[in-house]
Amino acid sequence: MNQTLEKSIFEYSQPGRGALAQHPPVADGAAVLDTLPPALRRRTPPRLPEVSELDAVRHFTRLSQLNFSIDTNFYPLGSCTMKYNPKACNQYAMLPEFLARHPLAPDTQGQGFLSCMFELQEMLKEVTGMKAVSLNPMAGAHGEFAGVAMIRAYHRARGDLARNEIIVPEAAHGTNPATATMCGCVVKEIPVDAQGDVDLEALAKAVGPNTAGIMLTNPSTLGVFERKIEAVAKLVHGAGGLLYYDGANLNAILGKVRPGDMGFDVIHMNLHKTFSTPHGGGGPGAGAVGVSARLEPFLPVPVVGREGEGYRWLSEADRPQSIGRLSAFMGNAGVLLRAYVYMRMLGREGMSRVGEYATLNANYLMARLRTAGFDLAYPTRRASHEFIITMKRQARELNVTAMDVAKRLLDYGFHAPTTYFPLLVPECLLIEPTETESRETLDAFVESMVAILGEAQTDAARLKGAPYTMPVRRLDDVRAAKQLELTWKPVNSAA
Amino acid sequence: MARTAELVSTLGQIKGVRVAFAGSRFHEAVVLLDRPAAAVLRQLEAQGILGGVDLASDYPELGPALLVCATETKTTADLQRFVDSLRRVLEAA
Repeated sequence: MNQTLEKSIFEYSQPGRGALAQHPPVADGAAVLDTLPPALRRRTPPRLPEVSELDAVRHFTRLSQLNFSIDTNFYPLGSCTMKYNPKACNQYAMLPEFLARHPLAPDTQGQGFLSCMFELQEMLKEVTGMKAVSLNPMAGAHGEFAGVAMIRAYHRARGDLARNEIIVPEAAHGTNPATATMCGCVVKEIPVDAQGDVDLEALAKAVGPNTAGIMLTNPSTLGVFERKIEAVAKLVHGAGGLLYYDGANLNAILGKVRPGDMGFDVIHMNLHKTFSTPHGGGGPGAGAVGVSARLEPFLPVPVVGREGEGYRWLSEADRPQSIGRLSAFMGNAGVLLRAYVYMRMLGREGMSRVGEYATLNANYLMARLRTAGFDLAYPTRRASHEFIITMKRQARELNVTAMDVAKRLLDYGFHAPTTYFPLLVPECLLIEPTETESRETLDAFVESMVAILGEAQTDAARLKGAPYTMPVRRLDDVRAAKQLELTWKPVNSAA
Repeated sequence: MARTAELVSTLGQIKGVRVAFAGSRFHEAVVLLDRPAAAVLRQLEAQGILGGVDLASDYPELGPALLVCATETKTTADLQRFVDSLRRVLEAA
């Protein structure tokens, strides 16, 4: 990793410098600009950096070297699935014919792309056991929104207007209550028991004539499989509600169990997690949704339909009860293509092996860390694709927190696990090794964790000051969140 | 903008094509046709040209209309080929 902070590109700017090779040669450009109303035209040119192509290449290359990434470091960020993204997926998705295809091009000119999307829909149906799939949502939370919007549309279409409550177990993803609220529902939170399963007694009290549905994550954010799922489904369906499956992360169940078979009515899938597309830097993502038969009419459009040997986009005219369009066109085409290639490369057998190795790696790492002296949040449960250790004891006895361990891990060359999530486990580290890491990498991570635990016992101050080897030291996260400063300003500017 | 201006001025000289709206343009323009745009687009497509967006469903009040644009990646020869093809399609009908 580059240890030197990089200047902003504005600080490389020199008046008049540029990459003129990229300028389009339009001789009469100035004359055309004169056709715009003077009142609407800029009086001063935009303050953009003026740099050469080489300046720009070096600047952005150096910036990229400041990042931890899955291509450079082990990245066990729980719930986020930082698995290796095969380069072939990228290469095929970047074929010129895909890149240059306009989303408004006629269906007749996009049969290759449409067939890929149709097959992706079909594969996702098969993997999840759902009746139909739409690829429209462009992120996980976007998929959640689509799912709850469909649940609401379903009840409305039946004239069942009182159903506006969404039940959310406390082990669900943090975005679930926000999604339900965004969709105009009232959130009813229920607890989980000491083993991490839904508290069935609490659920039985929560369901009723106002129940629109329940949002569940399985495996939950506690890293364990919800064993009472059939009882949960029976209770909620019995009360007239629907089951929503937060399928942000399907790694542990891939090829093993299917949400459709568990009784779920709707699921969203973060293709950028399970199906290995890049998801750094805040996106782009893909939050495809799958539904049971009763929700199919409400799927967001467009979806790809097959007619004879050809494919076409199905729109509002084909699906008059659809909740509508959630993106300008049909979702994030580039992400969907990468997921498609990944699934085709894996095949049916490969998918099962993803589930097996994701689970095996998590359980191996969990067992080794337990032996090394770390406390598990749920010591009697088998891990799914991820597990939680809690630093509560060390925080009390040594004044060393989960955040101190996370920051020190950076010095050892590992990205930190997810910290302080889920909220109901104090001082927690949520660790997801993924199936693409080798045993040697997992062992090296354990050795570093052991070394850090030793430092905690002999030199806690060392952890408190970490990281030492990064381009920046310990940052004030709270101040950064409260005093956002996201724009560059010239040093001598009064603005 | 320059390429679109070049395209629009040439398209406007074709019989059966009128340029809509007199205001300033950026990178795209609406042209009105004397027959349904869908059929015209299909014939252009057969010649390897995606000739624009049919506005029939989004703006039916315009009548047969196409949204066209030309970016800086297109040459004068590219634009001329489009114009010649459109002229032939409209003349042949």
